[in-house]
Amino acid sequence: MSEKSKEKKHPADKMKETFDKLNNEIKTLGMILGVKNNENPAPPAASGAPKASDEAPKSEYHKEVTAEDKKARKAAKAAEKKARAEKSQANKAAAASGAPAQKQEKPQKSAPKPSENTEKELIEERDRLKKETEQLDAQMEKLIIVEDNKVNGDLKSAIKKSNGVEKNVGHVHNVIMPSAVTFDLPKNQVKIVASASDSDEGVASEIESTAVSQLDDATCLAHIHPAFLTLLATAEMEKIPDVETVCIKFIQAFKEFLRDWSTEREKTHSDVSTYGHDLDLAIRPQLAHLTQNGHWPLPFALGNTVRLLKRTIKRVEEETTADCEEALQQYLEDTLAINFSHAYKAISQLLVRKIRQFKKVVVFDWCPVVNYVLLDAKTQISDMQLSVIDANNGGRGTRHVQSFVERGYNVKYVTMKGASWASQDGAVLILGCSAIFANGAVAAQKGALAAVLCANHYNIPVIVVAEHFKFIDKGHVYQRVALLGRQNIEVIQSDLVSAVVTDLRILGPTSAPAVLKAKALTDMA
Amino acid sequence: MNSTTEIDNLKREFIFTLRKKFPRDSSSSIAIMTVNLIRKIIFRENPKTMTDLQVSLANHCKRLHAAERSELIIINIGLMISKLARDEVLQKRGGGEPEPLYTLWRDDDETTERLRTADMKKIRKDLQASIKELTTEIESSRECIASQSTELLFNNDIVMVHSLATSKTMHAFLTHAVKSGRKHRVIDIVDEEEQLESAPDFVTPIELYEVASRMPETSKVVLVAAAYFPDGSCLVPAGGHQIALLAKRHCIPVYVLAPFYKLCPFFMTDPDSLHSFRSNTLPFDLSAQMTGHVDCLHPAFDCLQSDLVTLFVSNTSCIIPSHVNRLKEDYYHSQDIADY
Repeated sequence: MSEKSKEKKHPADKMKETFDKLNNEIKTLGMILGVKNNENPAPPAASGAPKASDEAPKSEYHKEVTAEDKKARKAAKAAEKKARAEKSQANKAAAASGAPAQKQEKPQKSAPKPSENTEKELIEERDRLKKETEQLDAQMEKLIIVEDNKVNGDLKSAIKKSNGVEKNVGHVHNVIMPSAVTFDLPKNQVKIVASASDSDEGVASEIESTAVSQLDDATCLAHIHPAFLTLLATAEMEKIPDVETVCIKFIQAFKEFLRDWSTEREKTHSDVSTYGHDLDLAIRPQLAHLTQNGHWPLPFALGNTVRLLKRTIKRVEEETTADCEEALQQYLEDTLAINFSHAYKAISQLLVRKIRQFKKVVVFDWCPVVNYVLLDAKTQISDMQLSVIDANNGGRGTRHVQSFVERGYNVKYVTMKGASWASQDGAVLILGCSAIFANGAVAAQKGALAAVLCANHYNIPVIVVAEHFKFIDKGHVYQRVALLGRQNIEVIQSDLVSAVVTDLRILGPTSAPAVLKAKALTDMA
Repeated sequence: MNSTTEIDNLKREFIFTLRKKFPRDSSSSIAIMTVNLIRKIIFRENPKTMTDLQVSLANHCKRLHAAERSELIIINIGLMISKLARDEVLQKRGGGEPEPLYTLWRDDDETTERLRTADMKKIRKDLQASIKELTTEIESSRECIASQSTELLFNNDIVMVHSLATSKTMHAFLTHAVKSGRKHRVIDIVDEEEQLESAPDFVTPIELYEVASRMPETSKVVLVAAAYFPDGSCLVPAGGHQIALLAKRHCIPVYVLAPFYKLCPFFMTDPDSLHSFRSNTLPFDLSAQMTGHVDCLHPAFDCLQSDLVTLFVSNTSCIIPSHVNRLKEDYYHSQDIADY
């Protein structure tokens, strides 16, 4: 079965196949119930199954969910329900009449002979069976619910009881029953249907290769923009390494969303003056989904970015929709530039001047800003020596090492055990951070506090690098945040830190409120 | 000639045994091995006078230590035995203590004379007996230290320990407390991932980078010493320094388990000569990429200053760091140290 060629099918064709398959199942039922049909009903079923199962996991497929598709899907689900009901009834009858294995044998036998079907026969059978289906349907309506409950227990382990607001749309679910039993297949995987398995399960998994949401979110997930869905999926799978990447990805996702939303808006010819207001309303469910309805807060730096964005949206006022959109896109571009590329350059300029007098630099764990600064410094100061302290063996600190080795520089690498030794040998410790609180405390990766204490013990300065959007007005750390999962963050008090380098200037850590004021980040509730 | 070659062979065997064992044997077994070796050497060498004995012991110890740089125990044991010998001599001859103040830093002439001319044959038996006693003391040091756990750990304590897996003394210390019915929680800092699963039941394993976040809830920290010095500083396994610094910041007492044979009579003037580095375990593909450019360091020891240690738990009693200098008088003779 798996050797069949994998072709991408148009959604409509796929639906047609699904219907064909359903019909064939019904034919099989008919056979069991004594309806005389000499053709082979099962080979079409078998061939239908491999074709369907060869649908290559299409990651883009779920993005093209249209209304027609949804209707088709619903119809397919209903048909499938009926098919399963009939099949279970057939099983009962077959068991009663003492021929239980017939149905299973038929698909098995027919699997090696897929070449026997002819189209004309198929069409005839289909017509005949449609009539039979209607007859059977009338008989079996009473038994549907009872039988379904029975069959559910026998279906394979792909079924999982859904337990409330679980993971996000990274999983593919299928609603089969009103009793809230859901399939829980991982995204982008289509279950390969073995010929001996229950055929209705094969049907179910075929339909499932589209992204259908969990039962409770079925309606609202449909309008979460795919850009955000991708963002969530990436966060789920790749475990994004640092806050900066999250921010960049979020801004890019938002730009896509804005583009699509604006084009739709143009079609509806809505009033331009409500552009900002409407956009604000539109973005709310998207963000709510990202944070699981406020269950998990956004990471600090991202929260700042989002709030500033909302503020800009509310204030946008242009002549036409296109202009509005352009203004916002421009703002997003600027944010990207200011927060990331320009900020890095500014920080690097400020810091390299200071590092010049220190020949031996020690860093802890990974931070892209620190990496940028180090590479810049190394080109300007050729005899700079770098030591990397890593939280665990082969952890994220190896990224620093790799970026240096790629350029042919020498590096020293120690794990947490050697933190004291490395500090003894070094002249300055440079740290990246997740956020800086209003009282000057620094939120950094776990293990940073130990490294800072060692540095203090040997009297070497500790410099923390932070872009301006990392300054926040809050006081404590969340354990679990959206998009980054469990955070490994600990808080370093301000008295242990010598200086904070921002893209504005170098300042002492207790001057954090000044930055908040300067960048108008204060009145963020 | 014969005895010299024999002695050389014995020493060589000893060094090879030390080097073959990986991971390293417990310090107490190394101490006992050293004691046995020195006993055999004395037996074969048969020195005539005390001075001879002292000189030969010093030579052997220097050689052995030079071969195995990080084992300070060898010197310790050698000097301890030397002191035992002196004590025996002075006892036999009706010793000249207490010495007047102005000669405290060296023996008075009478004692020196006595030592020079003392006949070793007479005190040989007694010396052997004292050496046996020394062995017994080393063997029992673990239980003695363990028995002190009831005085230090109380109910509802949360104790943070390091290197539980590699130190039998630490293990005995904690199990003794648990057996005596103390209800306390133990957090163990483990080095590698595998140790996370194989930790004993009464401990919660965490990794070294999580120490800072767990320190606020800890009430006591217990470390093991590799060696401790007369100024109260000590060598602990790598990572101990950060733990001690964090404990100090949160005002948590740090107890260091230090049996008497780890007490080094010398101040460490050149710690770099001692900081042995162990091999690093990096994943292979990382190592392959990094060859030639990356210096992976894995220090074995951390040096703790005396202000970071609250108490040294020795087999006799608990001692404060400033008392260590006085304690070394019990085990070593100042003349030996001066002449070394």
